[in-house]
Amino acid sequence: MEVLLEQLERFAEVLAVSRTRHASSWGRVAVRRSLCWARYLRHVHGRFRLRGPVRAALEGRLRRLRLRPAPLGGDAAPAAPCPESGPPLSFEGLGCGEQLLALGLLENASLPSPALHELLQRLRPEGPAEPSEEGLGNRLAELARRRAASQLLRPLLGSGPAQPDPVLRRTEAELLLLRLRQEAEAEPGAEALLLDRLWQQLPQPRWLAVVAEALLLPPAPGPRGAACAPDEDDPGSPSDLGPAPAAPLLAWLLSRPAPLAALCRLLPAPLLASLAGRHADLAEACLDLLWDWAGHLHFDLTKGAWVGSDPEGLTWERLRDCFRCFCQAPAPLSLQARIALDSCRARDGGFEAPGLSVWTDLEREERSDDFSKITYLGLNLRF
Amino acid sequence: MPRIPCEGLRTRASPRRESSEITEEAPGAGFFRSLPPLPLPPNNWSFPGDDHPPEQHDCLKFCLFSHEMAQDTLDTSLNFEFWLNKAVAWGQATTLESQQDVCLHLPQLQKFLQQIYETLKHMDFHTAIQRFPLIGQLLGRLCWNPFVIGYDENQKILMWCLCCLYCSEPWNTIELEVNIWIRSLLCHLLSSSKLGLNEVGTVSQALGYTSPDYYPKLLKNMVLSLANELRVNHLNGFSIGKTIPDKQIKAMSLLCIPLLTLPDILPLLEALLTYQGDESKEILCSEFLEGVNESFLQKKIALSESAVLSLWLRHLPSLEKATLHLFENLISRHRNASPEEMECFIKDSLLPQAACHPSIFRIVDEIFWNALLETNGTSEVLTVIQVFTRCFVQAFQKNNDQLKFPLKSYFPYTSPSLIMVLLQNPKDLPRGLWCQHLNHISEILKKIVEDQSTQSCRSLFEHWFLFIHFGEWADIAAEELLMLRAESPATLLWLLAFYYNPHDQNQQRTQTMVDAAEAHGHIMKLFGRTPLSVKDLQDVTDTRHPRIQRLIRHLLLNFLLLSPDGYKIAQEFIITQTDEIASELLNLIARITYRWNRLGVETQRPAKLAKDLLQELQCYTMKSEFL
Repeated sequence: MEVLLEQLERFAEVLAVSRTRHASSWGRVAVRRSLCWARYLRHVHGRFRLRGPVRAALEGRLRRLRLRPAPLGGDAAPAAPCPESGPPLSFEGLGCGEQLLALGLLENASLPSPALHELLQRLRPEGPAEPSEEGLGNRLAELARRRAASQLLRPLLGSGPAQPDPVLRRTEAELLLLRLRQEAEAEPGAEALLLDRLWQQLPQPRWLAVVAEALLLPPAPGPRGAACAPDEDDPGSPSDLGPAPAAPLLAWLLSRPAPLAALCRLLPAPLLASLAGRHADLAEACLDLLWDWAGHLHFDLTKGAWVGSDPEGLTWERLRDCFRCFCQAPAPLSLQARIALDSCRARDGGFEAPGLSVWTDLEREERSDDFSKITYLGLNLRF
Repeated sequence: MPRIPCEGLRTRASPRRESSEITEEAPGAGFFRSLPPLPLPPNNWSFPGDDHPPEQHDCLKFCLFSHEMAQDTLDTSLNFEFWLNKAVAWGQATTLESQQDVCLHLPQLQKFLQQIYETLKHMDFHTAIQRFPLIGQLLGRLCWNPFVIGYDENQKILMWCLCCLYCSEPWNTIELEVNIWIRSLLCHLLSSSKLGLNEVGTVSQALGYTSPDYYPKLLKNMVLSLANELRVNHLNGFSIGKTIPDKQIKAMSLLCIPLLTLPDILPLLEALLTYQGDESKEILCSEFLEGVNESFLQKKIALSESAVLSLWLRHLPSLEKATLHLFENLISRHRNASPEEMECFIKDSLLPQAACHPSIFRIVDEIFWNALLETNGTSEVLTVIQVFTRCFVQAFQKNNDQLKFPLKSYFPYTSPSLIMVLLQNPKDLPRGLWCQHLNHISEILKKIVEDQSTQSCRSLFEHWFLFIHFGEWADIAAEELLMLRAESPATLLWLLAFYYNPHDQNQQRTQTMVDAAEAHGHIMKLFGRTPLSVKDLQDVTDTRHPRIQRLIRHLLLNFLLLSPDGYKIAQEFIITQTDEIASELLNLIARITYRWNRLGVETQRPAKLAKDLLQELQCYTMKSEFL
């Protein structure tokens, strides 16, 4: 077993090097050997992908490699993530190690011509690699075909580059939940570390959209059940996520004030209401935050409007939009939001005059006829 | 292969101009237009200049070059010119017209690319460039057309061609530039980093996923989303109002044409096939419907029964093609298939299941009718109709609860009581009642025939055709006649006579009955003859009754299978017959063993012997054909 893990580690290094300038020293033999290695590990993946202790051991070693902070030493390329070496190797990656290696080499301008020539010969049907049906060329061509299919179908989805693409979000959300499950299975608590890293690494609006999508994904019907038949070739398909796939994500969000605050501040109000409607714990946390933020608003007599003390804090308009969407959401969220409004207003003295309590004004807005005419797009409309 | 001159090229803008237009646009001005500039090979490789449309010169140069080549070279070269023109005209296939034109040419293009590859693989870079000076122009353009890349094996062949052209040891600047260009084109073709889908990568890569991980998932979600949208739209069509206009659905069907054989898009294909527009005219592209049918017939895709039913209901040419395809398979390609094998082929075709819809049944039946008339009712066609009907009845009985179509809608011109008696499965009837049932069938048919003076000739043949569907009862009648189980042999003989000679008029039928009774008596006498010789059998067939030869052979064959002495000389007798008659007899034996198997008599001696005889005769026939 240790030998296999050693080989795995070496291959991860080879894969990482193939994407760096260190590949400039590669010749034909290096390409041949690395492809041979990738093929061997594909067989390993095929044999142990359906769980089992061997898979756990392989995943554990790959995890450790991902977390390894420094290069292995000397001039060797790092196995740990670095911008040049691309994403680190995952267990699923072993199943398509040849493709990853080939794509890495192909995109690497440092690779000398003879070495690339060696690779290209192996993509042809007469190439010296495996029988053509199972060949690397076929798998790469299949990928190209799927990419072309995505290109052809994407305009039909009615979303351009300027518009957020729900299908793209959904795919990313599924991949996120899949990775979280794998991390949690490998080591309890690892999923939270991953989420912390992603929170720091990715642009906030984009990351929050994926998180929201993941929290809204419908749960699979049964334990390890699926909305559609589980993929035999793909044990880690999103349909295999289990009954409560978003639970670790929700737990992380509720335990991290900064991401939760960003979610409340940046997510479009109707979407935030949908999330709160789906997850009662999140609804409570959001209402608490809104309550807290409302406390920082004061009525500016010169402007005749509620303004925030912190220029980067929550605006009156945002607060109004959020409460509007919460109150108009299906029960129990609407009920919860109205009770919160009523109790806060009562606590402020229950005055009817505008400008005295932010809660009175929110409730008035909610009651007014004009209120219902606002479009639900989170626009900052002034009355 | 179509050939066109260079006009198309001359009137089009130069590719470089197209590219610059693309780059000048704001990002996101359209998915296809947002692709990076079209890369072309190094100038000194494909000879294009920047300041003038390069194609004019290249075409002239190319034409001069091609005149010097041998005839085969000329052919390939002219095709090359045609496809280069096409590639230029298509661009990245952004207009509906160019998309339709690409789809129309995709199968031919794949054949051409295969030819090019077969030529390139034996050449080094320099020879390849001499032979095809504009190869880079062609490959470069095709690699940027998602319709071309998405179709069948095009992407693979393009990749192979590019791999062939890569120089292992580049010696000069041109070779170096070409290598760089090939590498970038391969990256574009195979990798995901410059696709206009860059945003895909950000989150997925941070999660440690790569393009082989997320593209299949992305495509799956796209397909499910579109299929779902279609279903919702379809439902809304009946109430609130549609969100997708018919024009867009047509465009969707067009975009699916190159992808038909990609398993990932199957849910979308099925959603399109089952989608109905509000107008009576077809909203899906006919090329799409033809393509789906073709892929289904070639077993490149596995559609659900409901999708196939929708396809055949909405596109008559596809249904006709599917029926003829089945016929061709059963009669020509698998000529020696047993009825059991035929049953598998037929069920596999999904035609019996689809025929549970009367409109489909009637069209398939019409084709059977024509086949029967055109072949003069050969034994093979009779067997096909009989086995198909059996499969249809099974599907009908299985599905009828949901479909609720009355039997009359399948056979509108025939007597309902006749349909009911013929539908009776012999297996569900005690053997002792078979003769009684046959008498009943015979009586109904006789009544119809005798009344036919008041009806049309077509009506008589409709009833005969119905009887042909359930020809198993005719086979049972012949067997019962030989086993002397019939209380009234004349009634059963009448049934057989009608089966083989439906067009007899009154007097002719009386004569047929007399002849048939004589032949039957003759055969029955053979049971007592020892030793029995082939000559005795020939005496029966060489009688004065040329009009009832097939009826006599049917009875005689049953005698050979059911009498111990007959079995001994069966093979010898059959191989002395003409090929046509031997084939008819083989077909009858196959049908009889098929029936016996189903009725559970396979363990009995005659059934075993019949099976052995069939195998021996098939071996003999194959050997004779081989010799």
